[in-house]
Amino acid sequence: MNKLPWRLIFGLGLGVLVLGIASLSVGKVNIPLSVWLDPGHDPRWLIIMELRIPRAILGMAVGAALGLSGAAMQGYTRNPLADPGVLGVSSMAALGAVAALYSGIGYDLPFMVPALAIAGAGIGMSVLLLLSGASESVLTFLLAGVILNIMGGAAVALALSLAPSPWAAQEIINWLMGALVDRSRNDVGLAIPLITIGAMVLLGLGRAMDALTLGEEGARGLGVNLVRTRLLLVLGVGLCTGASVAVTGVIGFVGLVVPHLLRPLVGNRPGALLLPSMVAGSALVLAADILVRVAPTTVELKLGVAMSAIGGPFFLALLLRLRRRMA
Amino acid sequence: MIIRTAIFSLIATAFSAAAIADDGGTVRPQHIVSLSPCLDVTLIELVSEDRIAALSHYARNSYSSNVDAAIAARLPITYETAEEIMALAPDLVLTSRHSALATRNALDQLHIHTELFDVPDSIDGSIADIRRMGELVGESARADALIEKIHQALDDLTPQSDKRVLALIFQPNGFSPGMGTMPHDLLTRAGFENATARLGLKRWGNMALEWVIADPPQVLLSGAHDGGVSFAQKLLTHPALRALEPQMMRAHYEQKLLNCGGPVLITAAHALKLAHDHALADLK
Repeated sequence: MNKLPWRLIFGLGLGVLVLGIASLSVGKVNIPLSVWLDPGHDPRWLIIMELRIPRAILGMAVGAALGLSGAAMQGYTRNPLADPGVLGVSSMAALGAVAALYSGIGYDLPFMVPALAIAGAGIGMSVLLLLSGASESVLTFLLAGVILNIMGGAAVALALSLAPSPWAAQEIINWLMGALVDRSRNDVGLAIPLITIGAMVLLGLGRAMDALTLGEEGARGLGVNLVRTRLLLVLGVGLCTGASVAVTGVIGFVGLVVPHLLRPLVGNRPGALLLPSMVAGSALVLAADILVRVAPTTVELKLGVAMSAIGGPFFLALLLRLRRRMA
Repeated sequence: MIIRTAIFSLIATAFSAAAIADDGGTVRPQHIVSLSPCLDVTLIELVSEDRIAALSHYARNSYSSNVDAAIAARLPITYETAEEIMALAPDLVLTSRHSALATRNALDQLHIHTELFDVPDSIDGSIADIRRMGELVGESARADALIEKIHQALDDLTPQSDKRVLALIFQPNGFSPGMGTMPHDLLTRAGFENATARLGLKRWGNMALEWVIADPPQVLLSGAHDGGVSFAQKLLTHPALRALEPQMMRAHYEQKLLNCGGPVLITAAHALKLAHDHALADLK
């Protein structure tokens, strides 16, 4: 554990703190300093307590979950393009959540929404691992993920279109583009415990991931139980991604961008990349969520739109570099 | 005015047994198709059901349609495609600006008699539409009777006291009417001050929850808010709104009352009168 880049982690943590405070101070309503200094007396205090604090906490937690999931997926598969959003794990989670909501189960038993979202993410992750297990090819793995993503997204759209809801179109956008707007303490209570467990599971996989840089044979030689590692990866990614998507919808690219930005700073050790990716994921989602609130749009921009605007070109640059290396 | 209308409707009733082609020289249409939820409601008020060839498919959606569910289930509907409409061989098709342009063009090419209605944003506009539809279907007397009922409901809406109550219509997604809309007009007549006017909202918009909390209305008017399953509905049960409840009364006002004028104005006026009476009693 001593080999973790603690200085980087503390630096990123400081960034999260600053962005967290910034996140509390932006929104539709301008809240003057006097309200902050005299808590509880102004009606606007309610905005801070019931809207902005839950939103900032959720942004941090979801960013952490997605950044960590991405780093773990990349570490385990030794594939730099792995990301829960890009490879369909998130859209499978959204499908689970939507299925719970629109079948009515989630209405009577609210915990079934994250439960089914986690199940969806877990299934998505398992499918990916099964397909990548059969063939070592990066291409097969990526194609499998892309297909999973398209099918998951289409199934979400189908389920919402069939639901007797006058807001179907709006809901499809919400689920597939993700947002943190007007989330409440209930959502925080629902997501945080599950994300915490998932994060602990994934952080525990650091040593196995370092060993896997030597290939599966090498890792086995070092005493890594690959079946157990794989199961824990499915569980951890399922919990982190599933719980996040259940409250925010799909937010893509966090898990893709963050580990890449950090890799040059950490070195080629996937295990050491996990914790920094988690903290940097928090910072990235908080920053994007501030961006959508200060953007001069009448209807607030969806978080997924902002993330894709950042992540899309990034993904492209990555592909080009990968191609050059392969050629 | 009332007496004149009453006499007029008596005369009209007396002559209604006369020839079908008696009204203004035009043939009274017997197979009428409506393609808009708002035209549906008015049409049902004006003609007998056997003259309605089809309502719009919205009629059967109880969330957004103001058509009585039993009537909607009984009458045929179309999904606003030229094929379905042609198959019904209608002699009058009522369309609105919301109907698809392609469908309207197709109907014109098939030489089907269509009549286009605007989507009125004032009570006067809505009343003019009722009168026009009455003439088109040859039921001017029934149209006048309906208009009289609307005027009566609007008269009843005028509050006893001058006290203005700050109100906000807040529907799923924060959907809210601003100035220059029929609901804004109704709110004002009912003795409410529309809170969106303070923010300068013109026509329709979505109110951010932060705005509501920063300057809460005395009365928040929403449709059923039992939690629902969509992000849109979840907004109505947000804990922040519940925390405001000691100082903010919540009253029932369904979203579908925002969609149309015509007979819906009567239902809307009743709902607002009820809310205003409660609010005055509460705020005392």
